[in-house]
Amino acid sequence: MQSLSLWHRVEPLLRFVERPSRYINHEYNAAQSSESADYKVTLLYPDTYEIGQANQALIILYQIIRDLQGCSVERSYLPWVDMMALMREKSIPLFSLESCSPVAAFDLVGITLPHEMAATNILEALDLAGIPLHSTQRGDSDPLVLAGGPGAFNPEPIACFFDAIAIGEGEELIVEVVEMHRQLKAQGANRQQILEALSSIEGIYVPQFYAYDRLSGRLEPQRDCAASAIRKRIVKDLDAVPVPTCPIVPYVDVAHDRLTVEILRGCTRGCRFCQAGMIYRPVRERKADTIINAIANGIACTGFEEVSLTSLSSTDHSQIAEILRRANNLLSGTAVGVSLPSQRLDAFGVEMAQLIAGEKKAGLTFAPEAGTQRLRDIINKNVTESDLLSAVYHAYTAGWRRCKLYFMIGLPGETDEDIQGIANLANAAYLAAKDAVPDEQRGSVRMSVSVAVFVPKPQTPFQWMGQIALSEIQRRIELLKKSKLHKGIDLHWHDPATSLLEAALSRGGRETSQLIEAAWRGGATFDAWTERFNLDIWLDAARNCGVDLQALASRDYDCSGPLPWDHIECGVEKEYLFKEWQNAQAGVTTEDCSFASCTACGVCQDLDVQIALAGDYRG
Amino acid sequence: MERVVRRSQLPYVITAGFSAHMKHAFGPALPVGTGGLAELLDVWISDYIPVSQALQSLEEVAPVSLPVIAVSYIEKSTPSLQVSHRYSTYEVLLRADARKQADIERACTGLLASGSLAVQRKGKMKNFDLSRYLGSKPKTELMEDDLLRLGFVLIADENGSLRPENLLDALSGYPDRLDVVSITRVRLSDSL
Ligand code: SF4
Repeated sequence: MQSLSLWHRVEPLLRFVERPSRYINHEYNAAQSSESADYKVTLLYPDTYEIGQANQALIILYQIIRDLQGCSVERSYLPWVDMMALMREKSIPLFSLESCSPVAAFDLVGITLPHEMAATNILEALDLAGIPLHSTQRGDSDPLVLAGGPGAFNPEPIACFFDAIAIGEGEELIVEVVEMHRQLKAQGANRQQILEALSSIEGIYVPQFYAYDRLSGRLEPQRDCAASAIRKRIVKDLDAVPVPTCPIVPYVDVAHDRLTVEILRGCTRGCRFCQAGMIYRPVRERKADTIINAIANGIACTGFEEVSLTSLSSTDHSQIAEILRRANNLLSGTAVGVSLPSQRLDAFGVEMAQLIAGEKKAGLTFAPEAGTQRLRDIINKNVTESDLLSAVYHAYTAGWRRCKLYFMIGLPGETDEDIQGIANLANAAYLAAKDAVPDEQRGSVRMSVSVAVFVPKPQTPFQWMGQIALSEIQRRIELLKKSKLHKGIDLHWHDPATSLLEAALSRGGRETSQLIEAAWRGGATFDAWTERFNLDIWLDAARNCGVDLQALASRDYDCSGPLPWDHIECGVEKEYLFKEWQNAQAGVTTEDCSFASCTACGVCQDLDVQIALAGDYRG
Repeated sequence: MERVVRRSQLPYVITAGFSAHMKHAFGPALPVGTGGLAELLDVWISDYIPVSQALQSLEEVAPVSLPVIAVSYIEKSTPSLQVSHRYSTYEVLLRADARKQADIERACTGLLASGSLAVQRKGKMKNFDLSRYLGSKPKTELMEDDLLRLGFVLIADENGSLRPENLLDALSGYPDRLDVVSITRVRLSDSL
């Protein structure tokens, strides 16, 4: 690919758009665009620069591809609507940041699937890039369009837009895909030969090789090269995988603008609503020494003022106290803060409160999820009211004056008492916070309650059940608004219309792609942005496709029948998810296998992997 | 820049208090969409480091497109950059030929003769007296490839400042819109 830089056409547009820094590249640690590389990849995040820049998976993959001999890697983001309008007016295609080259000129375009609401942005990005929307319409001169990320665990709603979809963890998989594609291109293989070869890689799903089979009700392979099920890829020894310590340092505020060190992967707490808890199993921890080295090297290489020790449940790390102690010592006197993305209630005692406090008190978030013990048992959130009250008490004793509590409404089995329970629990937590602070500071005690609408997700014990109706969600929100919360508590709730769409898309089958395409053609983009989301566009699109959005969101699947994502295996057995669904209905909880014995979800046997704790057995 | 200073491992001072941070202060902010070739930043350090050594530490860890050009010590009593450095020299690159250059020159003369410039800020009109807020008559210079360089100095005071695009908007429409390629602040200084 010779220099195809579009910069001379892009630069004059910058003074007419919001936040031109989104498009300028040249941040510290960004890769140099390499003219000499014989294979070029761009990693595309289907949202703006600020949202995608610090995406952890992209940071990891960027570093891995950059280190491959003869390969170059760049980043692309979807420009904001003002820039897109100008680009379309001037016929400027979607470009990469590093070399400002057209996205369509790369060998491989790797697109992240962060969540369902990014679906129309994917179409917008492909269209702006000049790449045919459907995989079957692409020719030999088009790039290979690969997807990956949490959204791949039910890929069907967007499957037809991709040539291949990577299921599971990408560290090893991306290298295999790049090496194979590069070799085949060099040999002059055509597109079909390339896709056939890629489908032989474990964890790669080539959607056009599968079709719906009336008899089995499943998607069945249509070619010999395609496996009947695609099993997720997993990194067995996380500690052996280098932590990216030189990520790009943005010039402007972006989401998660800090150094992130992933301290463990997976979570076996077993919350029944949580897709991440199922698809990233089992727990694999990095060692304290590895983590401390990564913090030291990462801060030296980036200069960030905060390091976040990330994972699905960071306080669960078997060496968390030691890690926080050593990190605080290392960073003492540097004004660099240490934060944890969210705090497990039952693991947040006096010591943890002091260790997280450090020099800076970053935000503190607790997630009881439900207002009553009965409902917390249904969802297997094994924390109690006293866990919450004591965690809040310790936090405010240690100096915090504000914290956030997360709840969900619309959970299976929820009654009006559970809604009132949210208010009761928040009030009790607020009083515990007031008790913890000196009299003269009580006026400064604040708490916020954030309420999300439950969206049933594939690959979870609640995958068979539909979302409650929009009108009922609205009634329950009203009920919560009317319940008496203390003055110092702010209540926030997610837009129920957004959650309705999320639910309609999340458990959809291949036919859902028509709805997505119709909505995009009707003008939907940036659906995850409140100011851009327009339910009417989606309702129109649904009408034109002959479907009912509410019916899609609330459909129940037969527990003994096929599911649209049956061919995608995350390792957790379907039978186990069903047993968990039955336990939920009976209000029976299931223990965390990292603390107690194996509960036979199947992932360790299926993927030949084991729970890997860095310290002592947590139980 | 705070991150550049942290990477340089200079002995920066941190503020006391609930939310400790590096003690530093920037000069007047660059308008959105404008490049800067010589921006200024005050940083407090706790030990004396020779200027050349401090410069080298910063140079080594600065992004290529955000190089540290010079370092010097200033008196503790020096007023803040926001107060002292109020003169911004801008260079605007435009697509223009000799005929257009003459149009722009005429537009500049006309603007100066009018004595003031009305600008909309937060929904209200504000009148800027050009003898106070514009350093001198804008200069034009024709360059290769049909590019024209337009240079001018804008002066800030406690009541506000003009932005370069305010001036460009005022020069537009003589007879048609300006085709701007880039706007750059090339100097920030305490006097003209
Ligand atoms: S197979 Fe057993 S030990 Fe492994 S993650 Fe599942 S429940 Fe835990």
